[in-house]
Amino acid sequence: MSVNKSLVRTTQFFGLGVLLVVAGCGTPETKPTAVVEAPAVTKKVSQRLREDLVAKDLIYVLRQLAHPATTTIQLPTEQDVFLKLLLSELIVEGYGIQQVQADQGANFLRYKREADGSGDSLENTYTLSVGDIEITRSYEVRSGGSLFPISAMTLAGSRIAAKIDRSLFKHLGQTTVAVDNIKYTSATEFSDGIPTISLITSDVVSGVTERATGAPSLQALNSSNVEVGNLFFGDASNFTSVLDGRNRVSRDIVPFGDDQLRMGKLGKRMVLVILNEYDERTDLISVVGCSNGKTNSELGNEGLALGRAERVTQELMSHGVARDRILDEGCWAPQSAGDRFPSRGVVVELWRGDAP
Amino acid sequence: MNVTKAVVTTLLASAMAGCVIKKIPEEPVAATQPAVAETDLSNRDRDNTPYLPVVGANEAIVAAASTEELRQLQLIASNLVSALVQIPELQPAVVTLQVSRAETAFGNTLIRALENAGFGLQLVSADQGKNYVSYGKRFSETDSGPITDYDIAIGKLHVRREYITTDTGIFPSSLMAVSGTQQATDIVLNDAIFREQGGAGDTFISGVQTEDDLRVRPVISEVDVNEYDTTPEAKRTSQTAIFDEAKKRFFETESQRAPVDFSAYQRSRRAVLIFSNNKTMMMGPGNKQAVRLMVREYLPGDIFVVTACTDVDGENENARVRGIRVEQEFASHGVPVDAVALAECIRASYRHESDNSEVPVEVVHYRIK
Repeated sequence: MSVNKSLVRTTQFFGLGVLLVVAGCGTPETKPTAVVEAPAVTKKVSQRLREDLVAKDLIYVLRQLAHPATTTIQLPTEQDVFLKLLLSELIVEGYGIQQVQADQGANFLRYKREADGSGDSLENTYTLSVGDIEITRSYEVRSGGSLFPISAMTLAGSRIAAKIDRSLFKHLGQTTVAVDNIKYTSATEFSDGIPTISLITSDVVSGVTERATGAPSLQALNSSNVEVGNLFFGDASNFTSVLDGRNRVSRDIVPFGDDQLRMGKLGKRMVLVILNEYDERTDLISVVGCSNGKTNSELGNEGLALGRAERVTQELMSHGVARDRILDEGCWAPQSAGDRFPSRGVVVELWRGDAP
Repeated sequence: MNVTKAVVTTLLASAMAGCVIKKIPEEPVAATQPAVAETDLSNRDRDNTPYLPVVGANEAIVAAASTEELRQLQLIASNLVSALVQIPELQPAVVTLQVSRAETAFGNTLIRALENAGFGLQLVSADQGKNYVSYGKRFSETDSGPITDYDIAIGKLHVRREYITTDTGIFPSSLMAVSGTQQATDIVLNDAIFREQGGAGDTFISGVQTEDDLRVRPVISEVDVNEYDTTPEAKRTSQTAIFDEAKKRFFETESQRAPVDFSAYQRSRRAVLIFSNNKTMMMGPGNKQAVRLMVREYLPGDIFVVTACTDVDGENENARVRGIRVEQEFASHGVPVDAVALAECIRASYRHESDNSEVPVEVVHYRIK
């Protein structure tokens, strides 16, 4: 099969009434020729019916992650066919809808459709993003025009136990377990990265002096490009203002090997244990990567400490935790931090606030 | 002023049809049949899109209305909604309004105007929600002739104004009455939009009065309308432009209202957001994530200062709009409007008008010492 990656876009929009009449038959396999006879139009109607099914499939999951009664979603005023289908679904579900000229809003909705293949077997992967949440699933159009989901529903930015609407693809009969479930993963990285968020303190100048003399640096960038102070020189987290009013419910240490950034099986298991207690409605996760003592790594103590924090952050995100729920920072020095921080490990703490 | 027979007939018919005041529908409206008496066949080929909202549209009602009526209702909706967007409690970037499906032509044009103003809209089956929008149109026969007043109520906020129809169009015949906010007197109306209809040397009243405090004297002005003011339909000020101007005015007023004494603050964090060119308002996912991360550390009392303009001449409209775009992004995350300030131009660099390369916007997070 020749693989031809392209973005498939249709521009014509038929009235919702036509769609509902056809969709109302209960099966997307209904012969569209019964409605419209011109072949070119038939093709577009079929495409619309399939995309309507995709929209329903994705929004069914979204509504379990972001409650319609309390969520307003921003959409661009310029809408293609698929966006209009998503919009109709969102209105039906009861979401607040805000139409914006650019990409304004905390819950700005975007989607991506990647097509693979050609002819009778066309694979489309749809990714729907709303704020931190990302929902992805692949579908295949088979001969006869039927749409089949060919992957699990992948969720990023949320760990809420969501369900798939199995009735949507009931006509397909039994699907495999691999397709019929939800997987959690980390969100797509931004192509342009995140701008650096500098820390401004009176220590900046002295930090430069310290660096010149070979002493440990006072601050560096974490995995989200947010500048954080070196906790070796103080106990207070860089995110004290965020953690104020919260209670620490657990404190665990994910161990790392000497000069290593690999988590290993034990580390990964520790993350699962921590996530078992994590409640995304109320919890934040504090991650402090540490490297205190002599090192032969080219990364140095700073690189190891923040690299370890980043590795644990990635692992948490790969299980669906949103980036902004993780507060990662570091503690580094060529000497022991005593009882305050481990020499080669990452301190992971769960901080719980009040439910919204 | 001469009021045409047709208008009087229409208004009387509306009143007799029970359209005296439109309030909240009691039942889910999905099953309601629109009361369409006659459909003007000349409307058949008309593009109704500009009058139909995305949320809660009633196409049959709009299809049955005359183009003239829809244009006038659109103008009234623009006038009333441009006042709403200048009320601090109703900032479109953060407020979601609840609406029922439109049952009248005014309902359709009003909801469409609210959408164009940038409000989030949520369709509800009854009158759910703390920001439920109820609206009304009331016709009166008075000693000074027939008058129609329109009102919008959202929670405790209320705006109302009377309008009169002449041979050339529809014009305000009262001040805009606003209640439920302390900032009513800061609202500036762009009543010049009515002038674009043209007139025969007519004059109408312009200004805002607060209904909450009788001690506050309204600032009243008069607007003259002459034949030469008539502007072709295609060249009239668009609804979006009216709202953009009103929102800009609001953000500028907010910045000037309470100058910040920075000696009481210390800088905490700083980020430089990069816009891909000089014209775009698209922030992109990376910049949006940076705002999200900065907001995460926001505490009540903190201030974000946005510096978008660095031009030597101190004037850059694009930069100002870009700065407001960033302000709105913070507001959309729940940061109060008065906690984000737009800095004045720092006059540090020269940028040629044709330069369309990437542009920076600096955001500094200040915290009380």
